[in-house]
Amino acid sequence: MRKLAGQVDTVHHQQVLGEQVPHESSQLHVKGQAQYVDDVLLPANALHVACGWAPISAGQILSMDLTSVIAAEGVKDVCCYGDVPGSNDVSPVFEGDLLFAESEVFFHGQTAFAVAATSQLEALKAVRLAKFQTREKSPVLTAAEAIANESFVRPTRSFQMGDPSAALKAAAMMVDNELLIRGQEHFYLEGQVAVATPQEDGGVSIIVSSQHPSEVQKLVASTLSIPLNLVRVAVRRMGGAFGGKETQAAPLACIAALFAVRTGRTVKYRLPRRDDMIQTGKRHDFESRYTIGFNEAGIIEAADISLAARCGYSADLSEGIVDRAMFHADNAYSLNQAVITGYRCRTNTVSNTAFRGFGGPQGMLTIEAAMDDVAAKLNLDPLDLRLRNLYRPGHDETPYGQIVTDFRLSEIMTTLSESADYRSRRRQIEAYNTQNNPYRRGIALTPVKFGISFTATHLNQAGALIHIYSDGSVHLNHGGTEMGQGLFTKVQQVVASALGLAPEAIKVSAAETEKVPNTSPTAASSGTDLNAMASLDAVAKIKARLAAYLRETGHPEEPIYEGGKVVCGDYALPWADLIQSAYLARISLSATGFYKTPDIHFDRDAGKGRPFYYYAFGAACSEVLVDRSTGEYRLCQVDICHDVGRSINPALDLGQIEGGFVQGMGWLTTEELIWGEDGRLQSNSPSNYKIPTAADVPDRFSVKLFEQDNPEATVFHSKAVGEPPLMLAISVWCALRDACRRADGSLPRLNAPATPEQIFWALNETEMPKERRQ
Amino acid sequence: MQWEGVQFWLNGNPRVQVGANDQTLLDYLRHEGLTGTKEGCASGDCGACTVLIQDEVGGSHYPANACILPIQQLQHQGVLTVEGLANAEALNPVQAALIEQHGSQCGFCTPGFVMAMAGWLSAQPEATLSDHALMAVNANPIGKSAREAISGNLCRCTGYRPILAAAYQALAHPVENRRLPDSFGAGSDVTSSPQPEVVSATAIGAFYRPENLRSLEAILRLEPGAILVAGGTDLMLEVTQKQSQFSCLVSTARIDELKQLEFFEDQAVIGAGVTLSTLKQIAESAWPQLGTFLSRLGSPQIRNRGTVGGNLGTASPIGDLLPIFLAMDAEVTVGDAEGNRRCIELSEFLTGYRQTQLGPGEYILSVRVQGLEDFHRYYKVTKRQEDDIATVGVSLRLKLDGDTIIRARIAVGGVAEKACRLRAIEAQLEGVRLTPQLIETIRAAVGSQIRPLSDVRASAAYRHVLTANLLARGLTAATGLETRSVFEVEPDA
Repeated sequence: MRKLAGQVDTVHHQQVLGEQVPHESSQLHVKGQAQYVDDVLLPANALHVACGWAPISAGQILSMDLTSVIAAEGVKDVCCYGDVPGSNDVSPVFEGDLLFAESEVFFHGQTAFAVAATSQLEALKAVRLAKFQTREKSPVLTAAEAIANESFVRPTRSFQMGDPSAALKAAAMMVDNELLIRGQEHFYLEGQVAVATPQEDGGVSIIVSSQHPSEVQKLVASTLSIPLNLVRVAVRRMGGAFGGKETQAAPLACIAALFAVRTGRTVKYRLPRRDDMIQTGKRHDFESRYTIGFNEAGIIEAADISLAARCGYSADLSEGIVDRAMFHADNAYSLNQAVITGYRCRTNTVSNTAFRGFGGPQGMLTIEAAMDDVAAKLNLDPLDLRLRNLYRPGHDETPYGQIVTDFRLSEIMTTLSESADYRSRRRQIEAYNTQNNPYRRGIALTPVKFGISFTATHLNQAGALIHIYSDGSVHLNHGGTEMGQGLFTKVQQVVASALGLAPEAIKVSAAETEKVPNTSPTAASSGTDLNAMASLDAVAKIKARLAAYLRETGHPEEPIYEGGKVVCGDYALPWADLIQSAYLARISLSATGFYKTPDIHFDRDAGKGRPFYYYAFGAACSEVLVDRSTGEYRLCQVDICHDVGRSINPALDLGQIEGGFVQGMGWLTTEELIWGEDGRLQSNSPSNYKIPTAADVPDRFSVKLFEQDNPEATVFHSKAVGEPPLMLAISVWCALRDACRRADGSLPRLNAPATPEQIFWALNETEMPKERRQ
Repeated sequence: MQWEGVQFWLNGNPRVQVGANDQTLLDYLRHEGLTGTKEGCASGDCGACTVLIQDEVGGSHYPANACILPIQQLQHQGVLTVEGLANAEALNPVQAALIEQHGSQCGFCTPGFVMAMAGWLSAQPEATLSDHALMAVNANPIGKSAREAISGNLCRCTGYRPILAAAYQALAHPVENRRLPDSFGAGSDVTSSPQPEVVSATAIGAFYRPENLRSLEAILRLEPGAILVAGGTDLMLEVTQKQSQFSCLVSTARIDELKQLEFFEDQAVIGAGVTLSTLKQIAESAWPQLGTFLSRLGSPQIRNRGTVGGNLGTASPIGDLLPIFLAMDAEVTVGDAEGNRRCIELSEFLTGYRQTQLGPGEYILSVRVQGLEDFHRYYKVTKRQEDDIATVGVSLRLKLDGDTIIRARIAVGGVAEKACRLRAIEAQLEGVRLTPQLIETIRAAVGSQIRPLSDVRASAAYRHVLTANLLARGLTAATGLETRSVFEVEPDA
């Protein structure tokens, strides 16, 4: 077995690693005993929050009459922006994300005031009683309108390699097209929720469903104008997050904390589903355009790609999200001379936010649509076109200057194409589609190359805290949060393995700001990469102290931790005995750990650098059946091969791949976010916003792990797996478009999501109504 | 007849609750500290609040959405929640299988899945089919039933494959391990057992639970403005989504006279209180086109509570049954507080957007449909296959003599402010031969007969062409050329 690079030693005792250990909470999950924030028993006098907003999408609040709200049954306190003792700005990075609307309304659903009442029902009833006088403006709703107005939340940026405009002019052939990609509602099953309890020192203690406890701490402190050391934030688990709880949980915690301090009571703020859908940010909608120049062999010589994101009213995380869209507009392909431009458009809609893939999916869908266009123009099998353009020796530089190393897609795609029998199925399908059937079939095999690391380099750090108690039991804390992805299980396996203990011997506790400070969000698929390494650093410190103690007591050999025992040469003793004697010998049995990702850097102004520590790869082959007269369709078969490096836990990795794929499929098929012309979200409930059900999962669904060590010095040489599989679902969208192919072999325009209606119009282009183009 | 709250059984213990007349079971459970049952949407769409209900001691358990179930309807019934499903020693087979198959990630939806699956498993024969065979749901009835059992439960993490695998794995457990605990206390009868002393809240509003039509009518004489609640699957959204309050609710759920379901010759009489599940079960053999259609109406949880009368009474333009009943010349029998009866053609009964002819003190008794032996087809197109509201619904019924159409009934939903018949089209069809040319003429003619809107589900233009194409599909099927749904067909076959 190979020794890991870096300072950490996990050479021994890896029997726990690579095993299909069940999720650490699975027993609690199935028994209904896993506690979520809304399940925590509160004091009888606790208050419950609801928020109200003005009935407009843009304009001025001339007056806000809350008399009836204050007088309503059960109402104990009411707040608006004038009641915030500290800052009303709750932005994560830049500024402009507001806790309460001031005089201007930026989107429909923007919180104008908050009510704390003795029950949630009373609070919800009370907020309906507010009376607003407003001066309404016509809302800006699309990226195109914002570009026309030159209204952006952040400056426009480009990556450029070579001289793309000259190369486009010189190219033998060209395609250009545009694509509307709608956003996506997270629809975590557990809605946003926070509970704040006032403390004797003027501080607050918060429990919250958040991916980013340190940021909640920072924003609660700035709202209340108190130092960070008076705010404690704990997150045991979330009922799903998917990026939607990276920044969006903080305002709830801030409002709950504000009421807690004002009333001296525990305060809960839980969003009902409708409010959650209206008031919290979603995946960005994008309007993409591309011009691709290529030669007769289909080799891309130049590309001009523009990606315009509907960011909503404020920046939130849109800077990095559009960056990541730009970083993935090449996907797996050498574009040669390319310019990629990202627009961050300001609109009168909710501020869009992180969602699994963080802009990457929209960039990747754009280039995959373009690859199909190029293949259609040349009448090539789209798979051949893709294979020809993959990064390869001599063509291994991305438009942002990173050299692609350890590129695995050629092997993955070829293997998958064979195992899924792609070639013969494509031939069958093409023959089928020439017959006069009521159905059309489509197939596509698409790759994913996803960059791993926060592109804001400073976030690539993590801390951990380990305590070993005198009975030998281990308490571990790290900065990562558990949202179902299995982070706690994987870190437990890593630490158990390093100490030669069973996973159950390691108690991984709730993420708490008092235990590990200044943490990064659990995001960017980085949870295990960062937190397991920080935990191993803490373990290494304790092991060094134990080794020194053993040396001093006459056991100079390097101790080996295995099967609950410590072995030094021919001396062996149970782990608990070693800990007991080390304690008596006054050895410190507590340590912190720290990790920062090595070798990454990026110069944003130049648009060049190495933003990613490594890439994760995968490919999927999807086949669909489409009803020509209704546009209804069924996903018949999916085959996936996905690169996880060396898997710490194949069962959890499989879960991320399958779950990510289905979530991505929902984004590109049935999940349609619709706003009215008045700027109000129309798809505001699960009755009109449809995420996949079990019936949408194909009967034939095969997922294989591509297990090959990550050459970088990651934990166990594994790879991150949270986000990349979502983009495997691009194969479904491409297969649907393939099924809509015209008789001459060309492809119609298809927006995302490809609802039955969109498919119908793609099959019957002349009849497409304008109203559904946007 | 005074309302003194509700007595029911919860996980083997007797309970009494007074409180608000519109309190949901979910609200009650969570206030009682039984927090395993989750709120995901409070609208019956996600299934995180799924519990099992028993009508009587030893009776079968059926899944329901606690979030829209008025607790006052549970008189003398039993409720089993995830807390009551398994004891510390032995997990239910579906719980054990979910762990083994890695079927939970964030875990928030898991208790709802556990309950839906445990209810399903308890009714299945022992089987050890391979996952692979079961996953081919179109070919395998048990696989199909497992998928249908969880069609009202949303999971955002797993992609469902491991959850289905857990259901299949659980099938291998012996039948005795799958038996569900009785939610009623051992050997107890709630009607005779001593009442618990603590009554936790004072009554807000009135709630009546008449046991027969005579009592219902007596209540309606006293309270002509009362709101009738059958399954509550639509009405309770007013409470959970709009925080509405009703001063007086009358539950029709216990009135056996509303639960008749009779088929004779080519007709059927369906009581207003018949649940959609019961109708589905009976229709699978007696009225197969409807039986198949009903698997796409709501979810098992919704169908177990929702009723035929509710679907008629809410008169939503997208009520799934309305075009079907219109095509079958349905006649609605309405009763009133004075004991009078009147029969109204369904097309007259529906007067507008969520409007009917029902006046104060009136209630729906039953609906009579006819023409079951005629050729008929019912279509519904949605964004998502399962548990979705129709973009368009089209139903047709043809009485044919050879290839001549003697009678035609065409009804549509989702394309006007109410479900309606397309009489001009019917007139065009009647008395002529059903030929491909006629079908194309009809396809072209439909557009002028409907007034669809553009909304969150679809554009008006799509609804137009969809209505025309579905009607043409149905007419073509009558000529013997059936086009099956993409959800049922294998292209290789």
